Amino acid sequence: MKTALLSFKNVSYWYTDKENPLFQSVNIDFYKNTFYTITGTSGSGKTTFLSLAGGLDKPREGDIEYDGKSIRKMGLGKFRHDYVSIVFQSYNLIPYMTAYQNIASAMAITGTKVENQEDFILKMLAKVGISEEQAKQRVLTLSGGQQQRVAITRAFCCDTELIVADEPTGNLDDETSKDILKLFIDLAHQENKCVIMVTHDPQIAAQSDVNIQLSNGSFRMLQHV
Amino acid sequence: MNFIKRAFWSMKAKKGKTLLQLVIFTVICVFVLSGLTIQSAAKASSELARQELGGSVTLQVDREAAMEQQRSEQSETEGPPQFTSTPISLDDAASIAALDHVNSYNYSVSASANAEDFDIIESSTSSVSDSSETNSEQAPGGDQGRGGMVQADLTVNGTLTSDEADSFSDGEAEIVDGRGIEASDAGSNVAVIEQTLAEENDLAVGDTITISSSNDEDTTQELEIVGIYETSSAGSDQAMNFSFLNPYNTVYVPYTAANTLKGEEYTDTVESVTYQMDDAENIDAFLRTAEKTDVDFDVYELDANDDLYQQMVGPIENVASFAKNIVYLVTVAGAIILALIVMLSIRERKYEMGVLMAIGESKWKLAGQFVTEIVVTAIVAIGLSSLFGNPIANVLGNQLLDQQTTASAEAASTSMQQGPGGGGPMGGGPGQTVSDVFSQSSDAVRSLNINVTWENILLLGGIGLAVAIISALIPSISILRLQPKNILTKQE
Repeated sequence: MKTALLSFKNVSYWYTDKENPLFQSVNIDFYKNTFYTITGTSGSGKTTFLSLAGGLDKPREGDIEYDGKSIRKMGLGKFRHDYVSIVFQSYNLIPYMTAYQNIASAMAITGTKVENQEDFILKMLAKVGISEEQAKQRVLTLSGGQQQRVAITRAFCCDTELIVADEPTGNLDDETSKDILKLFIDLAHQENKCVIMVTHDPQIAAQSDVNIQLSNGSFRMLQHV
Repeated sequence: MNFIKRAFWSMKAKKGKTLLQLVIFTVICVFVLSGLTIQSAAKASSELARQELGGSVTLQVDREAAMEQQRSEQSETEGPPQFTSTPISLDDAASIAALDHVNSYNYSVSASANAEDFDIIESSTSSVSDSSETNSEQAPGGDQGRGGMVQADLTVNGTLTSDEADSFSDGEAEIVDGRGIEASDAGSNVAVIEQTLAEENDLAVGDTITISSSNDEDTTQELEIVGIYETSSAGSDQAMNFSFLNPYNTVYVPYTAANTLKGEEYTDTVESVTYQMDDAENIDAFLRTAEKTDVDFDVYELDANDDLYQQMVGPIENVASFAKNIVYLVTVAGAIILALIVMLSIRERKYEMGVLMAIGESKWKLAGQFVTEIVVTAIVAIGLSSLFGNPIANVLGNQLLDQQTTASAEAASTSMQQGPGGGGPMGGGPGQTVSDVFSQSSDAVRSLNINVTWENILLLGGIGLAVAIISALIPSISILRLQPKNILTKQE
């Protein structure tokens, strides 16, 4: 039997009113080698769900387990440090660093070690269309799309089994968006990772292995074959 | 150690902020280093002054006790009050001289005499050689026990060594020919006379003079002149009326010769003994030990005289105290200013912290990054301040010392002008101004030898790093409460 990488166990979450939860007693398992998308209307709790999956927040009730271990007991900091990479909707790059330094810092924080790190990072950036010259520039001098690609590369370069992404292609043109999406899919299928992506784009959702639809606190899972 | 690398990247990227911190930190370090350096220089100068001056303790008759005794005797017997002074035996003087911390000692015996075969230097209102009519003031050593006035031409200062007599040690009198009175002269009839008196009488070293006791004309002494001194003292106002008070009419002789003039009962005694201490700091210990000797302290007293030392080190101690306050004030104020700057910077950098925490960075390493940034600045600032600290400390320290010295001199001047007889605690002789005495005596502390030492720099390093760490850690406490999701959500 396949073991879930990440399991939501009776997870409930509310902001101020317990009686009016964003979602209640959610039970979902996420597996490696799978590309998940989460869709739903604005305010349905997609980003909050992703925050819980990425260890940025903890459930009000219930527990989330990573590889069978409670991430609450493990500590959210350790969980983020050791097991998860996050791609934020608003890039969240360190503004005073170059693209290269942003990625190198993240790799150092997560303890990802590769031979010839500089070449590795430059090669990964090249895959998303960032040149060496751009890699050595302060990130604030790059365009929004380029910054998003740097943020995506940062997640790719960190050797974690779980990657969560919040609308990572929202600021990209169609062509680049397709290329980036392919990278995410390859990461899941070829690198045996678990990728969870929040998106509004039905075409991206259609390409995922599993699409989870959020609506009024309920979760509907659509398995694509 | 990624946070150290991040700290360097951050400092490099935010050059303006880094430079501002560096300037502030350098100013703080310069002040702290100046304070530390001035403090250590002041301490060294104070110790040097203390060792050089030593301080002295005088064994003398306890006049208050004697007066008290006199008053009680007067009430029992109806008659005029009689003040009796009991001279100090040489045995008592020697027993105290043998104690620890005594560098040297000198005897003092005052007597008055008349000139037999030479002319004294006349005071303007006195009528010369036969001065019996004019010089009827209470002359030194005028046998107070017998009461009444004596007539005298000369003040005879009996001493063990004239070099240690007050006038000579103060620099007021100086041997210009021959030699001074020495300890080996005890028992000899030799004398050191003033240059003007010598010139007036065509006297030179090797000549002899004859003097007679002012109490007993039959007691005469023939003294061989072994030295001639010059005095810078102009004498007191009283010297205009009484020749023996004229500084030119003071003759230095061995204490034994002075005793002979005073009478047989004064043999092997002295009026006072001045003990020079090895270190003013040891005066209290010396006094405690002296009290345990057989000397009768109901009759005698030991009078510690470290006024000169106190007046000399007073300005230095004020400067040292001021420097210490500078160190405290600048350290605390600097830490607060830096903490506020770092606090503001941390508020600006919440987003960065949120991102790094979201990636998985620990809160302690984030605090470590801020500490590293400020510590690197501190190290550079400490280096810069060690270059600039020395000249600034020199200017600041010596300016402070000048102010303090002037203030002390003025205070001493006021005190001496108000005091009776214009004598003053420093033993300035008649005619010598207070500022003269002060400037002579305070040469040792006229300026501070301020040099930044490795010890100062190490201490500055300790203080600087402590300030850096505290000023970065206190605001960093706020980091520990932060949650990445909250930071990033608020940012968005």
